[in-house]
Amino acid sequence: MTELNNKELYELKKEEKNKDKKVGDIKKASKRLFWWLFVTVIIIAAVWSMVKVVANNAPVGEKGIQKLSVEDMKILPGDWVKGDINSNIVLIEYSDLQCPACGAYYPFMKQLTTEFGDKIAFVYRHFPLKQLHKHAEAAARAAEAAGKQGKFWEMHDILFERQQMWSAKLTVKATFSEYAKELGLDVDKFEKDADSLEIRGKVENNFLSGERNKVNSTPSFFLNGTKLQNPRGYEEFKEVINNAIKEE
Amino acid sequence: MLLKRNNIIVILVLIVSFLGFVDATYLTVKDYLGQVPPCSIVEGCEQVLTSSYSKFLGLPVSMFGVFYYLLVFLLAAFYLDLKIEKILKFLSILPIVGFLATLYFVYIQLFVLNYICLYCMFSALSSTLLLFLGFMIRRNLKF
Repeated sequence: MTELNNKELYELKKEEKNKDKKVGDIKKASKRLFWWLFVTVIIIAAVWSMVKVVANNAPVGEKGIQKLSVEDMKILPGDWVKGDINSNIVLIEYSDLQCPACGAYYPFMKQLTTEFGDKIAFVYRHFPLKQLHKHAEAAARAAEAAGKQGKFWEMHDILFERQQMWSAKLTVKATFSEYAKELGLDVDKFEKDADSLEIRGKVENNFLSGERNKVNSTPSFFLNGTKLQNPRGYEEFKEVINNAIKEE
Repeated sequence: MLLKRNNIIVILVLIVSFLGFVDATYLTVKDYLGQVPPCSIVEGCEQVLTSSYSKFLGLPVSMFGVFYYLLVFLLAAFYLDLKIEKILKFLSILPIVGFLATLYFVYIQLFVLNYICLYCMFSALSSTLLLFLGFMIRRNLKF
């Protein structure tokens, strides 16, 4: 009798132990589950919040507080203008022909000028960042010299399209002369003009107007005198312009 | 005792690699979703992020950082769950590779570009911390 009782007791204890073990296993498993759930959630949350931060950094076409001075927000004599020169809507770009970001915006600008050419005046001003880009000023002068022979925009286009090529060169004088030849310009005159005091002065004046208005990066866009947050793509840029037309 | 000390170190690895992960993710997302970084005279980040050194195999280098930190983070998480010693070995070796990449990037910023991007320097800091934590793990393990 007692023997049986002992056996029973043993079985009972064993069963209880198993039960404890089972409870322990469940506890352990849920602990692991929570741990990996935590790890997954924290990774997803991190990525998601970074996407949010970047997306909110530059609200679409939000206008900044930076403004051009009253004189500089108008089209100035000597400015290069595309589109409708008499339009009330003026988009001024301060740009550096050797700056990769300006190069990235170049196709957008080209498309905008064809799409909105009848509604808006697009102004190009030089802002060569000489400390960063050693050929930027020479490129600006080359475009101006081509402009003397009526081909400013053609040279501007070539310089942006082949930016990577000439940016890497030690000297660019010969390269720019080749571009001038390609455009059918009088190369001798082009070279003389590019080096002339007049054109040096003009580029410098453009730069000073940027500096006066606290431009410190390129491209800087001013829509009717107010600085734009640089749009993140063509569609965004279009939206900004369309809004300006609607407001008009 | 030794195990406990390793636990603390691995938790530190977890935190540091997470911070590195967030930082690298920010830079990568910025590359794909953000504005084209303008050329600027005041800030160094644009110069660094638009330079030719910012891309490797056509991908932003920060993306490799994302994978590196994520790998370290997951290894640390695995260790805390499974307590497999082999993972510690990985956690002590992997940061050496990460640190070599860091040395290269800091060299490029200081001596080639002459510009410093703070986000990149933060990554350099977390990578260096991971190296030290890796050394501590190694000392505790003595393999």
